[in-house]
Formats: sequence, structure tokens, C-alpha cells
Amino acid sequence: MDHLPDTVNKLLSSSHTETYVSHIPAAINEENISTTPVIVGVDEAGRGPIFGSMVYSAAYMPETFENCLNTGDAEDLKFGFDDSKKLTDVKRDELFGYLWRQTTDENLSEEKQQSIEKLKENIGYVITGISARDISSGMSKYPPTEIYNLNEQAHDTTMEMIRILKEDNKLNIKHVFIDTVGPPASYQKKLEMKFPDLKFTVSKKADSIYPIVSVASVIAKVTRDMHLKELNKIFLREDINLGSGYPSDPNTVKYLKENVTSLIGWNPVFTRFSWNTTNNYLTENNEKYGTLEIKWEDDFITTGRKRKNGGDIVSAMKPSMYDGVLTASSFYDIN
Amino acid sequence: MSDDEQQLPCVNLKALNSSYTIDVKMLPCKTSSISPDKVYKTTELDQLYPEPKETTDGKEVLYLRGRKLIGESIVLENQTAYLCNKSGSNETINVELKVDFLGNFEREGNTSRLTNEKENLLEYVELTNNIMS
Repeated sequence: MDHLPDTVNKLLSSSHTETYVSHIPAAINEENISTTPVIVGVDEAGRGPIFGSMVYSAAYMPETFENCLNTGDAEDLKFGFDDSKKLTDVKRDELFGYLWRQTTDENLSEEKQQSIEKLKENIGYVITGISARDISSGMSKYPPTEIYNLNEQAHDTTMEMIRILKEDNKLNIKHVFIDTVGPPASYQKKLEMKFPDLKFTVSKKADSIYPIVSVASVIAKVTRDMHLKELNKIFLREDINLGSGYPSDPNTVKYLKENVTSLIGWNPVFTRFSWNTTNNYLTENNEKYGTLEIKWEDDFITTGRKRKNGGDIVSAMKPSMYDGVLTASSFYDIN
Repeated sequence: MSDDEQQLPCVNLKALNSSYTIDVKMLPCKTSSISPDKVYKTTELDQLYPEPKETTDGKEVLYLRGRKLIGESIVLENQTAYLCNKSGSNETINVELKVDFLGNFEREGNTSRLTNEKENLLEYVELTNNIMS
């Protein structure tokens, strides 16, 4: 599958979370790896949709290369890396293509080809795709105190990618820039405690502010989109369109409505069952959509925020009120 | 027989289909009643298992609507299990299929309960055998 980047092939290798680590670029070779300060940018793609993996990417480059990306300086190679959401699909594919494709388009000007080679020689990356299956199962553990929520999954993934770059690749990391959707301060503190010798900047919109985060943003977005497109090809007919995976997208709604099955619901390889959108089909309107009503222990306890607080649920249990789903001994275990 | 004497249901062994056996996997959830045609005709059961199949600490893994379920087999020594169905006003017990595999599953995060439930079941079987012998 040489028409796909290695990041995508790696994600296609299983229905679980997978990590791909690129080779260390030529500008940071073995001889000067410990003396070349690098900066790292981290961003994600696909946090909100109901379909596909959530892909995290950590891109890095020598600190001295920073001026070559989107700075407007004389050294700027003018590739146009930016927040991936601001770029078109075609532009994103083009930019990531410069990094993963073995050969450069010979029709490009010599100057452009040299710029692309310079880019390849300076940028390395690691990506982790947290699969839909793992997102779902992590968020659906029981009892609720065991739930591995999306923020924790995201933070752990980011820290593991940094560990890979620092310990496995032995990079001399000078500064890590991270884009976050949650509160930056507490996340930054968490990272600094885990890696006390590294400098972090956690910020909202970091993908627009720091060029290396823009690179990570593009790698994550293209990898996620290409992966989902391949899954669509493997598991679904060509004419079926999953849409963006957001509940506001008519194609997504159409897919969910027309393809729901009685027991499974939808293909677990690319569907996140932990999203509330699925409840409409699998728990609230079983008759309408022809799905089997399945009640879990959580449904007999309480719902919403209280479920996540663990402690409250125990006192809320009244086994005698319920018929059949739990035995008394089941409750004793939780107590 | 007096009116207040309870009538015991009879057991119908003629309903047993000896051409097939069944794997029984007890899952920690409750469903509304499923008609036999839906049970026998579903083609979705294979999709409960990831490809390739997985184990955790030697225990079987399946996924149902995003939940990871981990299970272990229950071996009933010197016992044979059957799948039964009730019918008629006297609730005749129809013995339908011989159980080839019996497994108990729990949600990921709650697998410690497997041991407790297994012990309870084996204790129940032993107690029943003692009463019946």
C-alpha cells in the first residue's frame, strides 16, 4: 500500500490504538543527536466525531529550522503550514505528502524541490491513533470509577509520544508546544511533573501560533482522514458516505439511520459507542430503529454526571427494586 | 390432587435436538425478550469478536456496543448443561439443546466479580446435587 503514508498503514494494521514513529531526519543524525536542540509540537485531530480514530501527532525539528516555517522571514520556505482546519483537504494532503512521499514531483521547480528536501531533512514525527474501539471501551468500563475518559486517554497518549522522542529517540528536546482544548494551566502542570527537565507551553490555538504545532496538526488531520477513508473502503460499499461524523452532518445521520443493525448497532472498528448520538438508536428508540434493547448495570443506577462520581452510585442502588439484571451478590462486590 | 397442592411442571426431553450443541455465554446485561427466530437467524454474533480474536490473561474477549467484555469458561464436572424453554399453561420445561461451552462474562474493570459468580454457581450446583442425591 505505497499509495498511503506509513502512519495510515500502521493504523490499518489493527482495530486498536497504534503508534508510528518516523525515522529521525538527516539534520539530526546520530552524531549530533545529543547536541542538536529540537522543538516539538503536539496536536490532535478527530476528538469530536462519532467515527474513526482520534489521532495525536508530535512533530519535531531542530530549533534552528524554526525560521523556515511560516515566519515571513527571509529563510521562510513558504510552505503555508497552519492550523489544519484553516487549510483545504488538497493543501493538507500536499503538505503531508512532502514529508512522507519517497520521491518529489519532478515537475516542480528545482527551487521547490530543494525546499521540500530541506523540509524532509529537518522534520520527524510520531503519531498515535486511539482507535474508535479503544475510545469506546475505555469510556465504558464498569464500575464508573474505572472509566478511562477521553481527556485521560489524550493526556496519556501525549506523554507517551514525548517519552518516545525523549527516551527511545534520545532527542535533545528544548521546548514542547501543545495545543489543548481543555484548561491549559492544569495540563501544563501535569506535563511538567511528568517531565521535570522539559519546558512546556500548553495553549489554546497553538496550532495557529507555533509552526511546529501546525505541522503536527496537518499530519494528524491527514492521517485521520485517510485512515477513515480506507476503513470506509474496506468495510462499506463505495456509495455509502459516513460524512464528517458529527451529528449535524446529514450524511452522518443518514448513515446511522440506514445502517443500524439490531444487535451490534454499527461496525465497532470505526464507531464510537461512547458518544450520546448512538443512544437515540440503541437505547431510546429501539422499536423505531429495530434495535435490541440492552440494559447495562449503569442504566439501573443513575445517569449523567453522577455516574462518573462513583461514590454516589453505591448509595443509590436499591437491588430489590430491579428485576433480574443483578444478583444481590453483584451489589456486595461493589459495596 | 387438592386445589392448594402445587402442580410441578413436567420435563419434555423429546424436544432435544441432538444434531446441534450450543455455546452459552452469560453477559452482564439484560435484554427485552427476543423471539426464537431473531435468536437463531442473527448473523451479527461473529461481529462481537475482534479480528484477530483476543484474550486477556487467557480469558476470552468480546465487544458489545463498545463495551469490552472479558469471560472465562465454567466447567461443571460430571454435569451436563442443557438449554431449556418453557411452554404451555403448565410451564412444561422443554430441553432443547445440549450446552457444549458455558462461559461467564463481565465488563472490563469488573472482572474480579467473575470469581465470585463462578464460586456461587458451583456452590449452587453442588448444593442442588446434595439435595437431589
